[in-house]
Amino acid sequence: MNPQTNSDRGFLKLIETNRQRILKVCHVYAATPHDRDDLYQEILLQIWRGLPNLREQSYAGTWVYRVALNTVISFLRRNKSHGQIVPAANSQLIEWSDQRQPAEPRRDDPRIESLYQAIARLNVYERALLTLYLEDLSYEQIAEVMGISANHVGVMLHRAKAKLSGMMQEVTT
Amino acid sequence: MNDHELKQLWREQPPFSPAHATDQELADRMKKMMRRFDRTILWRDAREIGACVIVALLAGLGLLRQASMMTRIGNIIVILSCLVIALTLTVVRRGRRGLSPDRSLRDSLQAEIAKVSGQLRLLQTVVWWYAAPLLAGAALAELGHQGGIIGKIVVMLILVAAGWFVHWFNQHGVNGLLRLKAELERTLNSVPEFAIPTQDDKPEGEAV
Repeated sequence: MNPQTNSDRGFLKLIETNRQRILKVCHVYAATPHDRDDLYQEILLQIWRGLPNLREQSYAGTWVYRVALNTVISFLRRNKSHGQIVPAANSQLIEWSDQRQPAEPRRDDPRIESLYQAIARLNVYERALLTLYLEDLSYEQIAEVMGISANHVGVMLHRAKAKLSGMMQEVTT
Repeated sequence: MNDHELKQLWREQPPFSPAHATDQELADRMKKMMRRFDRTILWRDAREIGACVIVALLAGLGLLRQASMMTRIGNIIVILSCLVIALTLTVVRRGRRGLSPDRSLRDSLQAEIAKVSGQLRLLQTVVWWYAAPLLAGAALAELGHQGGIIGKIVVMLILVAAGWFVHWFNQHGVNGLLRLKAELERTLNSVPEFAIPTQDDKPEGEAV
């Protein structure tokens, strides 16, 4: 086993602080435990690779989201090209949505399970937007992660929440 | 459920537990994955460029032998084709590696669309930059050889079949990539700066 270096310590500290954020992103985007594990590993690897670019520690939170969501996009593209994320028969659903198994046990509270199921039926961009919103990021921080202006975050969030509301009613009935 | 309740529900969910690993194991695993990642990239490039070098060397050996002008021209075309293939693959891959892992989501989607478009262009034109020059060179080299007409016809048929197979195989990839590109573009177009806002769009604060 190798001794810990400064970069090891920086990486481990960053992961320790942001582990739950990363895991929530994995649960929002990956439908099966196997995919979630793969995605988690992939995000950690990208954080490891990108860590030398992180100069301002105060931006670490939004930086981790940016890396995580970038990794998600590549991950979905790769899995999609192998036909693993959206079965062809369900492609009329919102683009890049996934089909969670309703019986899949994940959270004890049925409301949080419904929330994850509803979010999973939104498109990639809306899922990211809602995750960041639920994580209590400011409009400016969300805008920075998403690459849109802060003014548009409110507009898009309004649409996404309206969709989520409809999805939640669908999954609970 | 209103915004406040929704956020509270999200905040109060029990923490997730990843597969257990000590800090040191995690750091070691990352280094191992990084080394494997670099090795995979190196091996993939070496394999493809190595194949081009071997074919070019074989064609080069053909040039050293006493042969007809047609065979020599065929061999030169094969060598040049190998050079074009190796260069094309190297240039495309180098362009992809420069992407920063912490770009914004919109930049990431645009980069993925560019990546898929690049793959599409390569696959759609694979006959012209890959199969046709290589096979045409091989056909010329074969036609310039002394030998029976039957043998030449057989070799021509094999070359045509190989060209058709390359085209057919890549066409499958093209169809999948076209669907993927359309989905990526739909997702990108859902970004408000590309779409026209409607009167129904209001700022946040409403119940969900």
